[in-house]
Amino acid sequence: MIMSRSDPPLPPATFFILFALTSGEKHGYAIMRESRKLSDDSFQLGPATLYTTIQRLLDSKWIEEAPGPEDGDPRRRYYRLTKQGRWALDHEVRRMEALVKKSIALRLLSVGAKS
Amino acid sequence: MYERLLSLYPEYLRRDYGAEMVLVFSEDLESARREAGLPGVLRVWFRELGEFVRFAIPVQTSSPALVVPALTFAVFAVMISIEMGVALRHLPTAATLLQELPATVTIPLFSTPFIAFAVVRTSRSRTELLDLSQLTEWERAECSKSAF
Repeated sequence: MIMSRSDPPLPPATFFILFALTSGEKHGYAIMRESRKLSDDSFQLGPATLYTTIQRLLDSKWIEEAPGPEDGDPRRRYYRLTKQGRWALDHEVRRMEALVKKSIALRLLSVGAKS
Repeated sequence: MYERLLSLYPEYLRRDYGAEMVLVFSEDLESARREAGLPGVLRVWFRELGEFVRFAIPVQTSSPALVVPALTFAVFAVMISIEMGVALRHLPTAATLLQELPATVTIPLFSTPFIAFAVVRTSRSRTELLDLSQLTEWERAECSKSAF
């Protein structure tokens, strides 16, 4: 799947899973924990949402299965970002950065303001 | 208990990720219990309720074997209630009401299965018109397997 400027923003589940995998390959529960941490607990992934999204990302070739540790639990599968996935995440982060800059220019958001 | 709930989820999800989902859920529940006690446990189950509504209920209500009888009963109950309400206004005693009961019941009894079936077929037709191009190949393959 190739993204263009006209593509809609990534859904939150997709964004946070990709974001969670930037720090290395992870299994499902670790992705869930990392997503919660990255979103400051504002976004909670359930198992069904997590694995439905993982399957979509696998189909899009934005993530791939990774071998995982040899002594790991056999029920766990590990996942990692592909180059396309990293590019898609980078594209999305740049979109958000542009939005923040526009918000500051329109004075919707103050530079350094605390929420 | 989560494993039992999982049996109501889409078959493709259970087949490909069932074991992982059970593991993830149990770890999350244990972690919530350790970190936040009962409120944490309730938070996990509340989130699970949301997923159940989103994933399991559409699967269960898409089965004609469940929908048609349920809808038939619901429509029948509504029609009977309306007719009884009208009858009670116009029939002064319980005895006359009982005399009118067979006629009151007959029309809804025979018409509601047809109404229910028509509603189900109409809703299925509308579902088929949805844009399937947004689904991945995996999802399209699974949807075509479960077609009515």
